Amino acid sequence: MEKSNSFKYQTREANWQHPWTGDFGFAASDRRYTYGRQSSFNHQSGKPHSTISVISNEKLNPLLSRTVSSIDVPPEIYSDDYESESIFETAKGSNKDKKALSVLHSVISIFGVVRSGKRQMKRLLIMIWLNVVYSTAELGIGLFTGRVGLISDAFHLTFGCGLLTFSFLAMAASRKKPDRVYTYGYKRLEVLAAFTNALFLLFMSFSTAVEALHAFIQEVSEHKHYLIVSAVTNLLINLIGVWFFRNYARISLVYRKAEDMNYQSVCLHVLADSIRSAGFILASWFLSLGVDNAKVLCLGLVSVAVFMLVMLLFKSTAGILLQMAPPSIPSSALSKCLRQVTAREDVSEISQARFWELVPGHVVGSLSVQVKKGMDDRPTLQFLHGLYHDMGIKVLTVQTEYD
Amino acid sequence: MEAQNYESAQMIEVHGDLPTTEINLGGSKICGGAACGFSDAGTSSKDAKERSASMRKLLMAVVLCIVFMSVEVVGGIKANSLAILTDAAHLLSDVAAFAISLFSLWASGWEATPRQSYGFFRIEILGALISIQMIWLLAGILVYEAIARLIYDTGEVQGFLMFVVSAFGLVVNIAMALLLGHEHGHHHGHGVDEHGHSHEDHVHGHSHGISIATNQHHHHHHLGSSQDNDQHYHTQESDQSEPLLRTYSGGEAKMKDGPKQNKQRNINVQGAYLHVLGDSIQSVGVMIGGAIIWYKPKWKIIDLICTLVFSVIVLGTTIRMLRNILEVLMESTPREIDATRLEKGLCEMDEVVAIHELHIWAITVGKVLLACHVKIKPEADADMVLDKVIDYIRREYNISHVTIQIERQ
Repeated sequence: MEKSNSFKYQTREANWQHPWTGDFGFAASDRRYTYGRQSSFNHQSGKPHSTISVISNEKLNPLLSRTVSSIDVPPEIYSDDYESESIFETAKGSNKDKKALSVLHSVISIFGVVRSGKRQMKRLLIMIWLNVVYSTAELGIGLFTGRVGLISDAFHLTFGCGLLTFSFLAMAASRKKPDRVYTYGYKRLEVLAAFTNALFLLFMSFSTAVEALHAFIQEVSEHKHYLIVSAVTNLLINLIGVWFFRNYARISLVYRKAEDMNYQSVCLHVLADSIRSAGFILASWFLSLGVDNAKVLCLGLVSVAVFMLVMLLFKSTAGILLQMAPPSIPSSALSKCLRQVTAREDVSEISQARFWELVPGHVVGSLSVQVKKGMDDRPTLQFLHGLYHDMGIKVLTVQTEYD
Repeated sequence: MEAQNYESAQMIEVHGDLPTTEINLGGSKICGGAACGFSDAGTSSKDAKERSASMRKLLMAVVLCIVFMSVEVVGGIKANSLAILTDAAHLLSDVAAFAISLFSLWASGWEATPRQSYGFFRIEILGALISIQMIWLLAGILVYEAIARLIYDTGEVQGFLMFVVSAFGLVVNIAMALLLGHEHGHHHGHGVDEHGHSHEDHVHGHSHGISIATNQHHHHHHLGSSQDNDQHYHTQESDQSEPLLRTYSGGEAKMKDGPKQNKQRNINVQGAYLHVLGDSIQSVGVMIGGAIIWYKPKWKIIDLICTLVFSVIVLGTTIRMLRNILEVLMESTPREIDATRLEKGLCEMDEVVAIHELHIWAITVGKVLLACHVKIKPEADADMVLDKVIDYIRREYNISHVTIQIERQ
C-alpha cells in the first residue's frame, strides 16, 4: 500500500523515497520540483507518481511515523499542516460588525497567502486577472458596438472567471486550521471547487450540444470576423492557462492530496475553453472552405470532447462528497483487516466499520468492536490503530463494547 | 448486550415483538465491514413515506410544468415569437431542476452498499447543489437576454408581448410554488419531524414491531391544509407516542422553539421551491420591464436595470440554502447542535476527564453523527461510562449514530 508520506512532505533530513531525486541533485532545502522534469518523469514511469507537490514550507507531519501511540495521545493531524493563524475564532455567534471585520481580515490574509503561497496559486491569480480583463474588454466592446455575439462570449467568460475565483478562494481558505465549527478543517473546499468546476464544464458541454442542435435547425451561413478574432484571443489565453497547469492536463489522475483535484479541475476548465474556441475557429474555417454543416459537426465534437474530459473528475469528486468508501483502499484489503482483527482471541466481533475520505489521501473511519469481558482493550486498540494506519486510515475512532 | 443496557438506562421503552428485536439486533450488529445500513428498519419506513410524499408533490409540479411548457411552445411557434419560446425554455429549465430533485429524492432511498456505507442520503445534498447552480446559471442567462434585448429591441410590440408572456409565466410559477411550498408556514412542525428521526433510530433498534412516529402527533396540528397523503399517514400512528414524548426533555425543548427550523423541510423540495420562487421573481422583473418598454419605448435601459435588480434578489434567496449545503458538504458541526455545550455536559460527568477529537457532522440535513475520544479516570468502568455518554448524547441532542473511543488516562 502506498505510503502517503513519501510525496507530500519534505523533511529536513532529505528523507526521499523518490529514486530520481539524487540524479537531479536537489538539495534538501530546495523544496520545489521543476515542472519540466516532473512531467517527463510522468510519461516515462508507469507508476502513479503523477502529481506534483509544490511545497513551500510544509513541515513533516510527525505522526506519520508509527511510533506514536494514537490511542493515548490522539493525533493533532492538522496542526502541522497550516502556517497561517486561524482567523475565524468561534464563528458561530459572530455579529454583523465582526463579520465585516472578518471579511476585511480574510481579504488581507488572501494577499498575504498569495505572496507567500504556492506557485500554483499565483499562476491561478494571473489566469483570473487575464480572464477578467479580457471579458470586461469584450463586454465593453460588445456593448459599444452592439454585437451580441461578443456579449454572450463575455458572459461565458465571466462565469468561467467566477469559477476560477472560487477555486482560488478554496485554495486560499484550505490552509486554515480546523476550528470549532469546521472540525475537519477547510480542505474539503478544494474538492467542492473541483466539483463545481466539473459541473460547470458539464453544463457547458450540454449547452454546446444545444447550440449544435440550434445550428442544425437554423442553417447558419456566415461567421462574423470579430467573433473569430475573439475566439483566437480566447484560445491564446486559455492555452497559457493550460501551460501553467500542464501537469494536471490528464483525464484520469491519481489524487494524492486535496489540491490535486482543484488543480486538475482548473486545468480541465481552461482546456475545455480552449477546445471550445478551437472548435469555433475550425467551424468557421470549414465554412469558408464550403463544408456544409461544419458548425454542427464541430460543436458536436466539442461537446462530446468536453464531456469525456470531465466525466472522470466529476465522478471522483462526487464520490468524495458522497462519503463513498475510499477508492484507493480496495475492499479486499478492508475485509482482510477485519478478518485479522476478529482472529484475535479477545475480540468477539467487529461491526459498523465505515470509512470515508475527507480529501484524497486522508481517510477517516469509525468502527465498533466487541471485546470479551474483563480483558484490557488497550492492546487490541493499539493493534487496530496500527493496522488501519498502515492502510492509510489515520483517523480512526474505535468504540469497544464489552460482552 | 446493547439491548439490555439501554433497557436499564431508559425509563420508558416501548417493546414490540421481542423475538424480532433479537433478530434485528443480530442482523444489524454483524456487519463485517460490509453495508451496515445507516438507518434501521423503522426510520427507513418513515423516511420512505416522507420521501414518497415529497416525490408525489414534485411529480405533480413536473407534470404541470410540462403541460404549460407545451402550451407555450405551441403558442410560440404559431405566433412566431422568440419571447414566448424563450419563456418556454425557462420552463424547460424548471422541468430539469425538478427532474434533478426527483432523482435525488428517489436515489436517497437506496439501500446502503459496501461502497456507500452511509447510504445514499448525500445525494439529496448534491442534487440540491446542482439545482442551485442551475438557478445561478439561469440568472446569468436572463441578464444576458436583457442586454440582448437592449440592443435588439423593436419597440412596442416587444414590450407588450414580453408583458403578457411573463405574466403567464408568473401565474404558472405561483401555482407551482403553492403546490410545493405548502408547509411553508408550518415549518415548525417539520422541525419536530426531523428531530424525531434520530430519536426513532434508537427506539426502533429495540422494538421493531410498533411503528412509533412520535412527533407526527404534534405535527398533525400544525399542518393546516396539507395533502391528504400526509394526513392519512399521521392517523396511523399510535397514541403511545405522547408519553414517550414527555420524557425526552431535551428533545422537546428543541421542538417547542422552532422558529429557525424551516430548513428541515426536505432539501430537495426546498430547492425546487426556491427555483420556482426565483422564476416568479424574475417573471415579475421581466413584466415590469416589458410594461415600461411598452409604455415608454425610449427607456430601454430600465429593463436591464430591472432584470439586474431582480436577478440579484433571486441570488439572494439562494444564499441561505447554499450556506446550509456548504456546511453539510464541509462536514461541519450542524447549526442546531452546540458543540461547546455538549463537550461541557460530557466533561461534567464524574468519570470523564477530557474530551478530544470531537467531530459532529451531518450526512444530510437532520441526520447527524458524532465521533469523539473520551478520556476517563483509570479506575472507572469503561463500559458504564460508554453507556452513560451514549445515553446522554442521545437524550440531550438526539444524535443516535455515535462512536466513542474510551481512553484511560
